[in-house]
Amino acid sequence: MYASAFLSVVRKSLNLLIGLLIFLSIITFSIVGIMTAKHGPLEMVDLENLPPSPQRLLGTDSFGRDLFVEVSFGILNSLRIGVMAGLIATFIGIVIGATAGFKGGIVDEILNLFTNVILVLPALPLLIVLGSYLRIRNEYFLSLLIGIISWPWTARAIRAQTYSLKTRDFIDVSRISGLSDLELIMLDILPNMLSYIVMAFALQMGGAILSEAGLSMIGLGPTDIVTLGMILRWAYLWEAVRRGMWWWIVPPGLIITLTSVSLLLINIGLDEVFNPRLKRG
Amino acid sequence: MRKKFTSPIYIFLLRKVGFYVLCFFVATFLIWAIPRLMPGDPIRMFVSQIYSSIGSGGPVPEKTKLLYEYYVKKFNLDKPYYIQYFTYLQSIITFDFSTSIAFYPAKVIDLVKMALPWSLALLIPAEIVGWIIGNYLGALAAYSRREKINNVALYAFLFISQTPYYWLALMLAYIFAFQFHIFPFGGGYSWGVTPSLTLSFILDVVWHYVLPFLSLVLVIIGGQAIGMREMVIYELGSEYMYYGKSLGVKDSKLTKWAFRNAILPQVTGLALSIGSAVGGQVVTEAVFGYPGIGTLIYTGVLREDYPLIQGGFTILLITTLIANFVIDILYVYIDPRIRRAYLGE
Repeated sequence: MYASAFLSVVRKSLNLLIGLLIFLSIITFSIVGIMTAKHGPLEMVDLENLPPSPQRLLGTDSFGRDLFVEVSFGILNSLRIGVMAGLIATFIGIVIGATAGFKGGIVDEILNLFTNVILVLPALPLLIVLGSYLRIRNEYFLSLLIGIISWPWTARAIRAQTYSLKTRDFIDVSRISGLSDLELIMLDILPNMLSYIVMAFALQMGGAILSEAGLSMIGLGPTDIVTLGMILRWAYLWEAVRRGMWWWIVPPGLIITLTSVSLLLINIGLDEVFNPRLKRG
Repeated sequence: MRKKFTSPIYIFLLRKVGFYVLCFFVATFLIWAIPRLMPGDPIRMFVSQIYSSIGSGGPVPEKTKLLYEYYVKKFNLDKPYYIQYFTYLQSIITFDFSTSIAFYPAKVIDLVKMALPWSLALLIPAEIVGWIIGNYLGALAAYSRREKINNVALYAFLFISQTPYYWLALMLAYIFAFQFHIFPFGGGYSWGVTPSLTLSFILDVVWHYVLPFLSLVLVIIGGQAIGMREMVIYELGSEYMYYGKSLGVKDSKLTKWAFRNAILPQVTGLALSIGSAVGGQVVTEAVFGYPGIGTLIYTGVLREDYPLIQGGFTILLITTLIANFVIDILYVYIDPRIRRAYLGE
């Protein structure tokens, strides 16, 4: 039954279907790589700088690591940072957006001003400055930093939705029955915009994966795990470009791009499914 | 026309200036406060780093304590927080970022002054060219009657807009610098050449400029094209279009209407894309070793040169805020509704 419901949702939007297919293929890639790995991602297992072959599907890097295994673990870690940072950003965005939209008046003006201020600031340079002060750079601190910089887009969307929802009749009914503001937001407002929250999360997750890779490229990535951004950083430092080692550069960057594209397509697709009025062409 | 200071345009400008000044204070406050909230004692780290680099066989307790106290005093960490903050604010506002560690004994402000023209020469043309081409392609895709072209265009725009700037930089370098040897990789001009106003030097600079420029502009084109395609499709489906069509207005005129209405929000799109383009510029410059602010910040990160990082960031911040302000003013002149309201034409 769930399967048929799922199919009917997916059939409404080609974008959603394509987005989900790309996203699931990337996860499958990662799972297959991790399950078949006979060693850790950072272990030296073969000669250095080998091009792709049937034994080493994506070749080896300048440390003799198997890039197929490295990329597989990199996907997992990048996605994890994306999920954590995305959850933090979505959470802050909901709290600020829902409060602003629901309370209105001076609270709304102050929160909205704050949101617009953060929105104008150049996010990646800000992350670089803050990241450079981090003494311990693990995935949790990085996710936290990315999350607390990137919430404004979500806050804006949630604010607009809350604004339009709070004037509906059923909210008045709940209010008359004595629900507090917090209960109204938690029980009436948020469940009614679940599709927007999921959409916002998909966008935040994609953005966070790009941010992490940007930080890693500058040399501020996590020091204890391999991410897609870290693989690109090593490729850059060991001059993979100059030495023509395309197999060290193309896969990690392509997967970052495709992950972000797939999450964006899922966002667009969900919009088409849940807001059929918008669907065109 | 009223020319009093109470006229709407002055109030508008004043509000905008106030907003960007507020942005400046929030950003500088964040980079002051967040490191202080983080775990770890930076001075203790610093002192133990000094000892480990001397290699004196373990720290001597009394001397460590002396050194520790010296640095606590030097950075004002023994003073209350508000005094620390005002000292910091004073140094930022007066552009007194002290001396760079990585380029000792050069002053940070002098390094930034040298790098800024290079960065602006990359950012401003990339934003403008990217915006124009992106909007043109986006509108073209939206006008296309064939659904296939429209959809394929959307996927192409999506892909290019989500490409990380630095990966695109690496790919362009791989293809054009090392496979086909058309453009050079690294720096703003050739090694061993002294900057001068000669034709050969300018050609050399342009030749080095192409790849960093392309890696910025392509991503901007993708992002702008997505926005424009959305807007034009929305306009084409709106009521006045059907009305115009039913009156028998020519197609070319209808597309012109749609374009004019769709381009307005795209001016706001230009403002919003600046923040991300500035970020992309930092990494792109770092990858190419282009002599701009981004490369300075990258060097600062590698050498833990905090004055350099802060100086570079502050300049990028001011650039972003000024660019946003300029676009706000442009918008007043472009949008006839706002123009009439504010300038009373």
